[in-house]
Amino acid sequence: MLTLEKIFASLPKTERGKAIVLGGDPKGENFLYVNGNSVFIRSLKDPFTKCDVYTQHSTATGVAKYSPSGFYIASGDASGKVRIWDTTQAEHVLKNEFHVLGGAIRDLAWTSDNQRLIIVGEGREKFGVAILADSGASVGEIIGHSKAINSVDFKPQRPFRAVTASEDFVVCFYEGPPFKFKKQNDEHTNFVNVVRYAPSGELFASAGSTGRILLHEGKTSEYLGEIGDPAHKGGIYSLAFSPNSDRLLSVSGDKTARLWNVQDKSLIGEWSFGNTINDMQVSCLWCNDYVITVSLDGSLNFLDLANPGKPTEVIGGHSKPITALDRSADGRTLVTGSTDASLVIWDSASGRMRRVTGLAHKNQIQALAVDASGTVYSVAMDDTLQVSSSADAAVRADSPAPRKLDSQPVDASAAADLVAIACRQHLVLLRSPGAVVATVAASALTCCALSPDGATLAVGGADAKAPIRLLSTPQLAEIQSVAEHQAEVTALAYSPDGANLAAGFADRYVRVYSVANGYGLANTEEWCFHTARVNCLAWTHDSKYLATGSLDCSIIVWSLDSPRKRIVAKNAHPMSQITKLTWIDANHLVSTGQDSNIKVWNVSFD
Amino acid sequence: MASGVSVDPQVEEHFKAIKIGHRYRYIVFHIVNDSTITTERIVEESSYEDFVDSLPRNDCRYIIYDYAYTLEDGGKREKLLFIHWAPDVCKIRCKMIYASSKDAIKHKLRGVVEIQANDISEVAEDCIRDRLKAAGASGDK
Amino acid sequence: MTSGGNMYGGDEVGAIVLDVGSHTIRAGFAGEDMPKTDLPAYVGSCPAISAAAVESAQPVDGADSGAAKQQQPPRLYHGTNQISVPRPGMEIQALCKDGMIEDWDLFESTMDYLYKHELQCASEEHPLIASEANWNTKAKREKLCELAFEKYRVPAFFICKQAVLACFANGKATGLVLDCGASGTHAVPVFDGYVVSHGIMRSPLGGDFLVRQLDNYLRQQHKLEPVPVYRVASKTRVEEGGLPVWEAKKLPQGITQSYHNLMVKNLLQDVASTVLQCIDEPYDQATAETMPTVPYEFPHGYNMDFGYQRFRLTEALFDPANFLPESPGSSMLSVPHCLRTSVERCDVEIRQSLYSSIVVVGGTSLLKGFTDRLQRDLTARAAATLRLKLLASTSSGERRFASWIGGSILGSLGTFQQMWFSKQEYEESGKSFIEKKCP
Repeated sequence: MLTLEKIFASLPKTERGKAIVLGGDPKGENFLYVNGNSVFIRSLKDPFTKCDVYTQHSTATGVAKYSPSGFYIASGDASGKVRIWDTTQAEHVLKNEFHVLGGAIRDLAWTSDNQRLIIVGEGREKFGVAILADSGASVGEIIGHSKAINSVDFKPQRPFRAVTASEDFVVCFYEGPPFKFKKQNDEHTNFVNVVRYAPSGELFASAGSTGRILLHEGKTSEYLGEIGDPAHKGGIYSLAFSPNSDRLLSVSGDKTARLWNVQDKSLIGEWSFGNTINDMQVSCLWCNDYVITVSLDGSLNFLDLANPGKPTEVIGGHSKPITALDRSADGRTLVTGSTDASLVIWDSASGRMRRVTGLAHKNQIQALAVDASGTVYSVAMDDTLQVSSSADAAVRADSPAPRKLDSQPVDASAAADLVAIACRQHLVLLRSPGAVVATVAASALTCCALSPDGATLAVGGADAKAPIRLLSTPQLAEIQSVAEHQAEVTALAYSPDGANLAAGFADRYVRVYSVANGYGLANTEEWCFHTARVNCLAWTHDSKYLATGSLDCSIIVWSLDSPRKRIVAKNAHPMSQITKLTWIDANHLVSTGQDSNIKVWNVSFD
Repeated sequence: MASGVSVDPQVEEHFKAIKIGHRYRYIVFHIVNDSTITTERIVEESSYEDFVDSLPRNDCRYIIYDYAYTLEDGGKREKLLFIHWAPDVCKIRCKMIYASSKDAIKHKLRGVVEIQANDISEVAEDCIRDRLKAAGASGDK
Repeated sequence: MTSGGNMYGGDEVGAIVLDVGSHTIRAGFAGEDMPKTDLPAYVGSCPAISAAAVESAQPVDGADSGAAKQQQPPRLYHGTNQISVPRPGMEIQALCKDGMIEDWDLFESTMDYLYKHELQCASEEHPLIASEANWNTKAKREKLCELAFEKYRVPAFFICKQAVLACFANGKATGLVLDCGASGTHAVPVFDGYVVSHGIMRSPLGGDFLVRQLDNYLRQQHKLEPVPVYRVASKTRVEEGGLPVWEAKKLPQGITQSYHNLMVKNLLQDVASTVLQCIDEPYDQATAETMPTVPYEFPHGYNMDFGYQRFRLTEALFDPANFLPESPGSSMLSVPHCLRTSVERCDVEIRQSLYSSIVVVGGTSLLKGFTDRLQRDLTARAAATLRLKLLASTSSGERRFASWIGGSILGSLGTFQQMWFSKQEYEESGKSFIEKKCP
């Protein structure tokens, strides 16, 4: 049985120039954001390891918000559908699903009586709707805009009002329910990204690309004035009021977050996040005592209002698919790499992470390997190989310079004091900490694995007819080849005791070869229970069990002693292929997915 | 569409024996000389696991299996499975002949639940159970 | 089964297997692994007078030429080698339309050519087994049958739906055949060896579509006029992106537009198969830009690196609504949607069997990343309990010629000899009897 113990969750999806929306739990336990087809319900108290992931939308999700009662969440996706589902049980039973817009949903707001929703975004003629949450019946008309609507909010007390902010530079004001267009506010002179009501309902604030924060009266929409002059040097992407409406937080592309006193419009504090593009701030949330901002690289910054300057806690991780994984020898540290060229070092117990600095990689990390000393060897699709330190989460000054490889790297393996890098057209063998020992030409390689004693290197290729080749180290001369298969080899791994070599294939098969037996098949069972290509394999420390992950989104744990038995975890990463696996101790398996999540599983073998 | 392969009369006899008499656990049929479907072997007693082990990995077969199982509510059931066994790794010729001759033998067998299996995972017990549940829900096929 | 006296006896002589598609025609002998020939489904047609003029190199007198034109039939050219030669006045004409034989005269000339030059055998000595489009009409089947018996005097004939042959060849009597070919992608459910006609879903998104997308992209965004090989005499090496430097070949007058179009299409097909790839998740510009580029050198020397367009151009197969420039918000179905709709049109009881036996065939499916992306998109919309399995042969020959191979095995089976529609049966019962013999 595989039970999920921890999840080092994906970060929110971000896009340059676009604001994103976070949702806050009225009970103060969680906050919401989206990535891929999922909604992430992340714990505010323990964001490092606790997160519930809801993956039921069939297209990319755009926004998710709690109902004021906290019992339901409404989430909208790229196809214009909104799902309203229960938060109280783990199954998240669906209450309703409505197809409301012809394009992507960007924001939505609940009315304070939990009965109605206003949903806005892109469409052909309609950019927003107001509906009853129970039936989907229309409760008004959201008209008045000529372009996509970015943001919407609802006045929490009577008399009820609603406001929308759009790319057409206009903020529209509605009375209702049923919602009727009342007034158009055109004080903004560029895209308006966000509009939010103060919880007291006395006023609402809007902001956008001009960097100005404008205030309007809550009941009449009368223009009250501006905060700041302008509030930011760059476009403003999000605003958040304090729970008692006295303060307002604004975040901007100028890489700062600013806290304002609403009454006298003065600046109380400022947080500066750096000066790279990744430090642009694209969202913020004020949920009871928690204030969170989101940087363009997806990092979640927890701010301490008493101490402006730097955030107290930064939660990093990945917002893009995870493509590489390895662990330190003691299993306490994990290293992951992603398609956006980032490497992250994790503490496998606490989930705390640091991003590796000083990397020269420009695109997808293809593979990485961690040697016995904790040195990380990473290779990327731009043909670079770089050496960094997992202990320091940085490229050290004394590390060898990044090296350009002759052909695109595909896999890396470390054992003893050697590191093997398989590239499409050649193989490179390095000795820690990075000196090249041997190079040999090869063709169409896809994966490699060093035996634990470092004496043999197994390589597999894309050609279904090419055998798995076993090479001696350090000469890289061929000793033997194994050809029991009929499809591309996708992954190779030696068991820690060196007795067996496991191989995963594109035709769903998993085979184990016995070293002592001349690499003959270790058992005659057909391990073909995955329903699509096998992506990765990992042996347990005692070499008795093998875990495999596949394109079919499931993980299977196979037993060498009882080859007919297996543990299947279907949809281990829902709707996402399993990209890598590793065991951090006898009972804990770590899996990474294309959904950017890292999951730690407790495995019981009976 | 059929291949013209004929069915030996003993096939029907053996089928009657297993269907009406419940005399065997399973019967394996094969195509001989690319021309006739005959009985390859009959096994009177066997566990399902042993049966799966006995399947040829590189060749196709048709099997009638008298499968006994217990439902979640404790009720006992027995169903006759007609398994069209055609491993993906087989030669294309073998797959083609068995697939195009299936109709010929199927016509002689009434009241069976058909299973198309292209590898061990599709003939594994949990897969068979799912298939039986689905067939039970919509009536025998 | 049938009256013994009229059954085709079945000699040792092998049957001929014919698999007709919109892009190519595959022909060969039953019992062999691969078709002997893979002819383009086009014919080059030169009006006789032009041919004569070229051959005699003399001006032709007006009055005489009129009479001569009426008497002489056009000169026809078959096969890649012959069609590729630039000839004045040679129009390229397609044999098929919509996957079915349309121009019977041209088809006949192709059959003549096949028997005489490619297969090199006498038609009356070999039974003929032909594949047909999954939606072939009764009239066309009967016409082919008539042609086979009347003109080619074959001793026996059989016709079978392409999807059924492909399905059987993959060891299944029930499955969803997804055929991704030049003319489009078709999802054809097969149940117990029969095509479920009301379940067939056809989408124009296929190889030809991708070639058109590529053509538009090169012309509009790169201002590049693809120059096919036949026009190039010599070229010089230039830098990537630099203006091509080439010498035009001296060509005869009267090269037709249809010939030129076909040559350009062949060139673009080569570019497409070298360069295009399907990205494994819904297209994201930023991610696509980080992928390595693939270079291509055109026949006239222009050197180009294909970057994110490699993935963007194929995305229309999975998301036509957003990636078809000409018709934004188009209602065309994506490939996965086409497949799902096909299954949904079938009886609810067989749907799980169809989903767990999806057979992917056709040349366009060989696009790098296609099957993985298809798997992902199907999984994203499927219920968690659905068992989904895609079967796509790793051999490119098996993928492109699945139907032919199925026909080859069938035609070589000893027992199949009694299934043929024999000449005697034809003479006795007529062409409409084919419905009984080839259900």
